[in-house]
Amino acid sequence: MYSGFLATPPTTATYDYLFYWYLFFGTAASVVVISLLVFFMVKYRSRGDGGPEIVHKTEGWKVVLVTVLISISILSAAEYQTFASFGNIEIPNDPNAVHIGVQAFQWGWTFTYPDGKTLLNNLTVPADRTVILNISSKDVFHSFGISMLAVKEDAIPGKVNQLWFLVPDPGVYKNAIRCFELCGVGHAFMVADLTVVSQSAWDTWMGS
Amino acid sequence: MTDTWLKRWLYTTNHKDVGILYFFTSLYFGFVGAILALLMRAQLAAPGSNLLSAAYYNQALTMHGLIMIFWFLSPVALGLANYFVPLQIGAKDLAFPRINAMSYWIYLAGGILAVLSFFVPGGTANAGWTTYQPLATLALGTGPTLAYLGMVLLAASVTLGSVNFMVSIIWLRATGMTLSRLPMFTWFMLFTIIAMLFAFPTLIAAFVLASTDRILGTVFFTSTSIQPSILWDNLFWFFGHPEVYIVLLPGFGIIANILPAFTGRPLAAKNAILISTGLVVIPLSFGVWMHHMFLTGIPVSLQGAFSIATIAISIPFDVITLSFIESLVRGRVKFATPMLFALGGVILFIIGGITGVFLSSPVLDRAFRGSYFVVAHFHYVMVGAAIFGIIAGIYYWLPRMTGRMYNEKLGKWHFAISFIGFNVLYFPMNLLSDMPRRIFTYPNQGDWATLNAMASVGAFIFSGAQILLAANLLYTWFRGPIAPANPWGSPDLEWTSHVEGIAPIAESGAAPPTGGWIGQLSGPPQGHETQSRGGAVGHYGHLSSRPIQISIGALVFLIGAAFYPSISGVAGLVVGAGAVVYAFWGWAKDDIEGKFVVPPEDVGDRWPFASVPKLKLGIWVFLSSEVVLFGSFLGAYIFIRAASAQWPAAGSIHEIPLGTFNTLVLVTSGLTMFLALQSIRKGDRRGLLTWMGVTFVLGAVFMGVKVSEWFNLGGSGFVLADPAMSLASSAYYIIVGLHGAHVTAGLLVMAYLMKKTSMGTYTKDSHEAIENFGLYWAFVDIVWCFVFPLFYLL
Amino acid sequence: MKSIVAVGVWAYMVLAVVAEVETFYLTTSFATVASVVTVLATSQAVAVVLFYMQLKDEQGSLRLFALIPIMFLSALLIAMLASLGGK
Repeated sequence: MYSGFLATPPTTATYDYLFYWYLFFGTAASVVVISLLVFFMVKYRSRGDGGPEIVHKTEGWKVVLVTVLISISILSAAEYQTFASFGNIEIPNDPNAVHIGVQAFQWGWTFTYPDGKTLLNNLTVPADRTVILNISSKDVFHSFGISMLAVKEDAIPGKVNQLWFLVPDPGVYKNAIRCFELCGVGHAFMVADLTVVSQSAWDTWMGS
Repeated sequence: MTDTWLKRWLYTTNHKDVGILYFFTSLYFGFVGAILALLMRAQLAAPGSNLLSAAYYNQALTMHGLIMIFWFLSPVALGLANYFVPLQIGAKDLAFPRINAMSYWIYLAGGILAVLSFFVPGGTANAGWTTYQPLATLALGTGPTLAYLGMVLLAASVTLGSVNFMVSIIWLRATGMTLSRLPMFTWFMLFTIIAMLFAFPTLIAAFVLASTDRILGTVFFTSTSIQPSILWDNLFWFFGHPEVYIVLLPGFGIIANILPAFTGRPLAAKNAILISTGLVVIPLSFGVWMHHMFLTGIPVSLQGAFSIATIAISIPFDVITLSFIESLVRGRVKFATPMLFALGGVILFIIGGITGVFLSSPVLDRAFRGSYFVVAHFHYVMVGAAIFGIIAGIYYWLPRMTGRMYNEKLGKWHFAISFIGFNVLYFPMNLLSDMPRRIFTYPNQGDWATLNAMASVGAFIFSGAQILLAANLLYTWFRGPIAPANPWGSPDLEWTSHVEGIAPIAESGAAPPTGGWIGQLSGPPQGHETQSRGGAVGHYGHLSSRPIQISIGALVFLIGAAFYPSISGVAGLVVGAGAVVYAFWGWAKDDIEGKFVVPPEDVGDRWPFASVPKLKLGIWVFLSSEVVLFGSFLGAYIFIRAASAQWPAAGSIHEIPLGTFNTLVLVTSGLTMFLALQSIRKGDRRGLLTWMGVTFVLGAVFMGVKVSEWFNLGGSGFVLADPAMSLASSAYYIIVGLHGAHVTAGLLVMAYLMKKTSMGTYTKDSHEAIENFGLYWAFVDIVWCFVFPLFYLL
Repeated sequence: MKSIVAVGVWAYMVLAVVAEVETFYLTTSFATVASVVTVLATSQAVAVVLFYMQLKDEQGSLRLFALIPIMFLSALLIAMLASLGGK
């Protein structure tokens, strides 16, 4: 299982909580249901002509009712958790946020910074500040994803989509950014680096 | 003898023969799809491998998806349905045997186009089975065009097939076969067919627009000012999500159908299963498609709404699954091969279904979208549940189809190796949630190499296991011991010809103990010569050369279209169109000369459409699917209008007075057609001829005005080549042209009906054809009521 | 159904077409034309389906069946247009 999430960013924290919530109930449900199947299959296996009386009724509304009730409770709780995590996909109204333009092309990424500077295949962001990416595409449908931050948004020609994240500490992450939609023969190599720098380094770089 | 043999298979209209044809053809396509999958898994077995180039890999993944879903999964189920639905409901055949044969041949023609597309320079389609735009349109070459036209043909075949099955299941049930007694497989095929009926028209619309972009240079998916990607996603996934259930439900139907045979007790909560599927899954399946578009920048509120709908659709499936499990309780479970595959399918569905719940969350989708987690999910559902169910059905019904028993030991090995291989293949993909799908190579990073190696090993185990299936099929066919008439002790009509409360049917359901594939041949072959003339011997010998002719014509026409505007392309268009017209003319001639007469069905149970005649029901069902077809085109147009900032002002392009005149002409033809029908209802054949003549003239005037409008528009610069006009003209010519094609087809049918009227065919009491044509003509009228204001006034 | 009813339906169809065109000439408001056209075209469709296609004389189940595609299509149209809106 993917274990490369950065632990501290808020998007991954929210994501992790939600994912493990789903994973716990999902696993529990599969284990219970599959065990039931195997248990009944073995318990009621044919042992020649003898054995317990076979039922002939077809109605099983009791089981249906119980199934529906349990399903509805677990699934509504799951949906509630998802809605509670919508902060991950709603763009925060943070006046201090850094806006960076992302243009996908066959096959790479151009990042445009607030001072008009552009970098190819290198997303540099300040640490501990909300970063909002305005993602679009020059040619075909791409999908911009940073797995370790659990953020992803499609890059679509003629349309600007937004995503946000925040990384608390500086660091350099090679090939952390990948394209997640088939976009032609270069799809496999459509990667970019994520560089997180300190606020002072960012200010210096913006000034240069 | 050979001649008769060949003729039988090429001209057959018998449902069992057509079922066998579907069955073997789809197995062939499944084989092709599997080879493509193995190529991919071989390439991905190790990081940095270069067995396949990126270009070949993209073609392999695209055609693997298209071929497996459209030319293997659905058709193999349709093959079984062809064979067993009529038997299960006690019908002699499907409602429209020639259209059934035509569905098969058109399906095959589509498949031939898809296979041909590999062999043209540049290779075949390479944008994934989802055909995301604008990548798919920007990829030049004839190969993708051929593949996409193949898709259009396939979708047309499915639409014809759905109408046919729908009418058959409603109309051809034996007396006593009430809906409450309908076997589960037939029930689930009915649900599948309803979903097909309304989902595939959108696919046709999407691929027609994509194909005209490639062939004629329209700009639906290349003009970036209208968010073409979003347009495609909506059309494609509106079809695509119901398609998941279209693929899944036949397998579920088989599981539900065969469980009682191996538990000795009835299915638990049968009605709950039917209500869950028919009244919840099918309607809701048309309202969840945007979970495929969570990341496309749609509003968060819309993501929330579709997330709720998506998670809600798992509730009916919980009911179905738990009822399957409850069906074991207090039974006597026998582990024959079909039962093993059925239970295995349920287990795999549980895993696939639960990963689907993860994907209903837009927040979690930020990690899973476009990754191997998605690949694992849909393979667990579409291979695990659907294919395991279908394999269960194959083993279950082989004795009925061949008269011989399969080898049980081999079947059990087949199951064991398949089940293990399947999980070794797909379970690792659940863990690869950070690896993008559809990359042809990957770095040695994290656990990617290990998990991919595992998956590749599993792929070879799983596909190797299918050799056992092939071996078992051959064994059964040639060596299998003669099967008892009802080996499973099933209460269903396909095994026992006599069921209490149901009228016995003419064709005994019991398998004759002969061996070989049991199709229409049950008497000596010389019977065919007489049968093909006038149908004296009964329905089973009815041969028709028209379905295959139509299909060949369509194949040649579309190959021509793909190579348009080269000379050979134009030649293909002309020859193909000629062949289609010739074949339809022959079809009509067969009817006029009484060469192909479908005998009237015995009166049976026809609820809920008891008072609607067969053909009329067929027309209504067909038109309901046409509503979605035109609705999708007009919906695409409305989307384009809403998305584009600029549009030529209304009245600046089209002449409104002329358009109004033409609208009034068509509206009036609706009245005259109705008066034609009123005349023959009174037995007034002369009045029928007169009013129909007036209708014909009005229709011809309408088309004449249309054509002159097109010439004038072309002359005045309303052309695709003008960037300011390209979008408006694309939409106008294609959608109005499609309507024009419907009017033209109507004119041709009217000519035929007038000929038959003058021959005295229609009387006061027998004029169904006139009434049915009236329905079609009124529908064409309705479409124009929307097209006119949308294009001329807005 | 009497032929006179059919003629009446025809008269309504003609009137609706004329009303659509008149609305177009009388106003420059796109929204007005769009709503008038939507209402009138839908009413025309209903008239044709009920009378010329005689759905009003058919079984209730067939009438219900005819509504299914309309329901699905409405879902497609509404959500499609909604998907155009930004975040």
